[in-house]
Amino acid sequence: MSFLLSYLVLATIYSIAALSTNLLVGIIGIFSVSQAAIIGVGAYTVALLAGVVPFPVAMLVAVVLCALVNVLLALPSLRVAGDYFVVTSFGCQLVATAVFINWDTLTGGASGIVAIPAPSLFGFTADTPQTFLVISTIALLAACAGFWLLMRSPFGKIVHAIREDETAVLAAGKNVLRAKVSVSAVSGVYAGLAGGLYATFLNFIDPPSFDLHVSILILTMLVVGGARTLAGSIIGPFLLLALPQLLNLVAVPPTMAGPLRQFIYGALLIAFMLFRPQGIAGRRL
Amino acid sequence: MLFLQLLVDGLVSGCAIGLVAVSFSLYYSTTRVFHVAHAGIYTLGGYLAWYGAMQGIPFAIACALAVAGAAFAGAVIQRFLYDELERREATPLVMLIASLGALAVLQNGVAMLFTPNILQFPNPWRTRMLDLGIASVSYAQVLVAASGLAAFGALMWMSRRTLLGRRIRAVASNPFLAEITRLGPRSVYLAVMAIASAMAALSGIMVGLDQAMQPYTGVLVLLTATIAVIAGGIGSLTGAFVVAVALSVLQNVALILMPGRWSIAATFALFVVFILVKPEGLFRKR
Amino acid sequence: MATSCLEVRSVSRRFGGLQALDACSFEVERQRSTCLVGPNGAGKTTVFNVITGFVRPDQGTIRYNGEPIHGRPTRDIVRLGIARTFQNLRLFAEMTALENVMVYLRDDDGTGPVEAILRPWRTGAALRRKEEAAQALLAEVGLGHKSGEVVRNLSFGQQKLLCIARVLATGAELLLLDEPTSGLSQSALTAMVDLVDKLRSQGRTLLVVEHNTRVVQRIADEILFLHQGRLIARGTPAEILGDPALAAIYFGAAA
Ligand SMILES: Nc1ncnc2c1ncn2[C@@H]1O[C@H](COP(=O)(O)OP(=O)(O)OP(=O)(O)O)[C@@H](O)[C@H]1O
Ligand SMILES: [Mg+2]
Repeated sequence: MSFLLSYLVLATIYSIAALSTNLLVGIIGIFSVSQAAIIGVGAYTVALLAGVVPFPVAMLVAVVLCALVNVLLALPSLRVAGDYFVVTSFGCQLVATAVFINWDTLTGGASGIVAIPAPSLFGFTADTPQTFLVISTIALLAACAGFWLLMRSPFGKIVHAIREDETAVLAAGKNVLRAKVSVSAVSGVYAGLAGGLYATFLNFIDPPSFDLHVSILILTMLVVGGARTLAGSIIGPFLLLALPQLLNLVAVPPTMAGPLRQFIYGALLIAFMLFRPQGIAGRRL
Repeated sequence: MLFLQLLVDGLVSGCAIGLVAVSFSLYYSTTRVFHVAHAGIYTLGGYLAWYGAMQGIPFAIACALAVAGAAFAGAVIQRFLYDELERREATPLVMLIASLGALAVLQNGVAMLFTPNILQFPNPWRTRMLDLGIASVSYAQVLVAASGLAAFGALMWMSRRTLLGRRIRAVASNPFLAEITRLGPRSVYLAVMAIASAMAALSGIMVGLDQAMQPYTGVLVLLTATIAVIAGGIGSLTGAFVVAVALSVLQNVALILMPGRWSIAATFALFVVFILVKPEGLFRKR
Repeated sequence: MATSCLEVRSVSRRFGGLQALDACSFEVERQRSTCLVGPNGAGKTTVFNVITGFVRPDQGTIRYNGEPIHGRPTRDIVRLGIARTFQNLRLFAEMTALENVMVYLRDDDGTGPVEAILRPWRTGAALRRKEEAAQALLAEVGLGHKSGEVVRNLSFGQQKLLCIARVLATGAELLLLDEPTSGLSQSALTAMVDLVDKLRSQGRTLLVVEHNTRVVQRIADEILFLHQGRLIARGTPAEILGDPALAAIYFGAAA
C-alpha cells in the first residue's frame, strides 16, 4: 500500500534530519530552530541541480554546501558566549524562509519547484515509493553508522566530555572549537542528505516545507524520541509522523489541521521538558 | 517627502517594537530566561483585543481586558512552566525548548480559537488620517506612538522610583542573595513576567490596530526586538528601546533602496556583523 | 645543580578592584617539587590559571624552557608540557574513569571526525590503544579496578586520584596540582600523599598548592609563600614553616 510506503520513506528522511539536529542540540548542546532552513538549502540545491548533473553529484554539492552553511551559522554561537545564539538561530530560519520566498528567479518563489526528477543511480531510477524506500533506508543506515562510529571514537569521547565540562577539555590541551565545528559540519552533511532525499522523493518543494514550523517539528521529534542517542532520533520521527494520520480520524476542518498539529508539537515539547527531558530513549539534555 | 513619511512611519512602529524589546529585556535581565514565548503573548494580546472589539466592547475596555488576559497568561507560564522547570534544575537548553513549546502552543492556540488568517480591527476610526504637514499619520499610528512612549515612561518610572522596581533590580543583580535574604525572587519573577506580558500585549494590540494581525508574525517582531536588546546592551532598558526605534526607522527608510521583503535579512546581517565586532552591546552598564 | 624550567617574572593580574596577583616572580626547578602555600584568597589558583593560559596576565612574562608562554592558548601550553588539575576537580561526571583518562591522553590518534567515520578499523585500533594506555595510568594511581565505573559513583578520594591520572595522561613534564589532599579522609590522604611522593621520586617536576603543613613537609623541596597576591617568602620547608611571622599571617588570615 503506497500510503504506508510513503510514511516509511518520510520517516527515514526525517530520521536523518533528526540525527542532524541531534548532533547540534543533543551532542554539542546548542539550541537550534534553524535545521529546516539547512535542510531547505540542501533540498533546493538538489532540486536545481537534479536535471543538470547526475544525482550523486547534485547530492554531493548539496551536502558540502549544507556543511559549510551549518558551520557558518553555528560559528557565532560557538564563539560568542551568552544567549545570542538563540537570536542567531531564529534569525537564520526566518531569513532563509524569506530567501526561499523572495529569490523567485532561483527558487520559484512561493510556488516552489515542481517536477524534480527522481534519483537515479547506476542506471537504476527510484521513481516508485518501493525503490525510493530502498534508497532512503540505505541512506538512513549509513547515517546511523556514521553517527555510531563518530560517537564511539576518541573524537566522540572528546565531544561528550565537552558537553560535560568544556574547561576541563581545554585543560587537556584539546581544540574545543575545532571539535564543535566538526560536529556542526557533520550535522550539515546530514541535513543536506535529508534535504536532497526529500526533494527528489516528493518531486516538489516550496518554502513552507522548510519553515520555522518544520524546524520545531524536527526538534519535537528529537525531544520525544530522546536526545543524545541514536535510537531517539529514529523513534521520534516514526512516532510523530504517524500523528497526522491519527488526527485524520477525528474530524478537523482542513484549515485547522496545521495549527492543531503544531499545537500538539508545542504541548509535547512542554510536557517532555517538564516530565521527561530525556525523551523515550535518550539521555538528559 | 517620501523620506519624511517613511521616517515617521519608522518612528511609530519603532515605539511598538521598542515595547516588546524593553519588556523582553526586563524579563531576561531579571530571570536570565530567554523567553521566546514572549512572541506568543504579543500575539495573544492582539487577538484578545480584536475579539473584544468584535463583540462590540468599547476599544479602550477591550484593550484593558486583553492586556490583563495576556498578563495572566504570562503569569501562568511563569508559575507552571519556568518555576517548575527551575525547581527540577533544568538546564538553560531545556528551558529554551520548553519556551519554544509554549510559543507554539500560544500561536497555534490563537490560530485555532480565532483564525489562522489575516485579521483587521473593526473600528472604523483607525484609518482616519491626521496631517502633520511634513507627513501624515493615522489615528491608529498616533495611538501606537502614544501608548508605546507612555508604557516605556511608566516602566522607567516604576523601575527607578518604586519599591517593586528596587526589588526587581536587587533580584536581577544577585538572585542567590535575594533568595537567602527573603526578598522573594519567585514573587518578583512573577510580577516581572506579568508586567512584561502586559507590555508585549499592548504592543501586539497597537500593531494589530495599525496594520493587521496574523498568528505567526510575532516571531519576526521578537527577532527584531531581541536584536535591539542585545545591540542595546543586555540590562539597559533605554538601550533596548532606542535601538529598537533606530532599527525600525532603518528598516522603513531602507524601503527607498530595497523592497521590504529583504529588510529582515538586512537587519539580521547587520546584527551578525555587530555581535562579531561588539558583543557587549552599545549601552552596556558596567 | 638544578635548573629552572618555568620562569615567572613580575606577573600581575587584577579582577575589578582586586589585585589578585601583584608582581609575582619565581622559578620552578626541574625535577623538584615546589609547594605554593598561602591563606585563602591569596591568589594560588590564579597563579595556576595564569600559567596555563586560562587567565591572561595584565603584566609580566612567563617562560617555559626559555619559551614565552604568556598570552598563548591553553592548548599550546599543554602541548609544551604543562598540565594542571582543578581545585573543584572538573571531572566528566557521566563518563567512566577510563574515558576520563582517555580524553586527556596526549596522542591525537583517532581524534579526527572524518577518520572516525571513514576508517573505522584504524579508529577502533586507536581506541583500543588508548584504552590500554588509560588503563595503565589508572593502575598507576591505584584505580585499576575502577576503570569501568562512572565517575559520579566513585568516592571523593578516588575522584581526586583520577584527577592525577588525567594530568599524567597529558604526558606533561610539569604538573600543577591544586590542593590534591583537601577534603580527603585520613586513609585517602595517605594514598594521595604516597602517590605525589611517588611522582616526585620518579623525577617529575611538581608545583603543588597545599594547605596541610604535614603534607607540605613531606613533599616539598621548596616552598613559595603567597599573600594577597604577593610572593612574600620562599625557602626550604624548614625555613618557611619555622618562621613565626609567616605562621601568624597564615593562621591569622585563615582564622
Ligand atoms: N575569574 C575571576 N574573576 C574575579 N575574581 C577572581 C577570579 N579568579 C579569582 N578571583 C579572585 O582573586 C582572589 C584570589 O583567588 P584564588 O582563587 O587565586 O585564591 P586561592 O589562593 O586559590 O584561594 P583558595 O585557597 O581559597 O583556593 C580571590 O579573591 C578571588 O575571588
Ligand atoms: Mg585556590
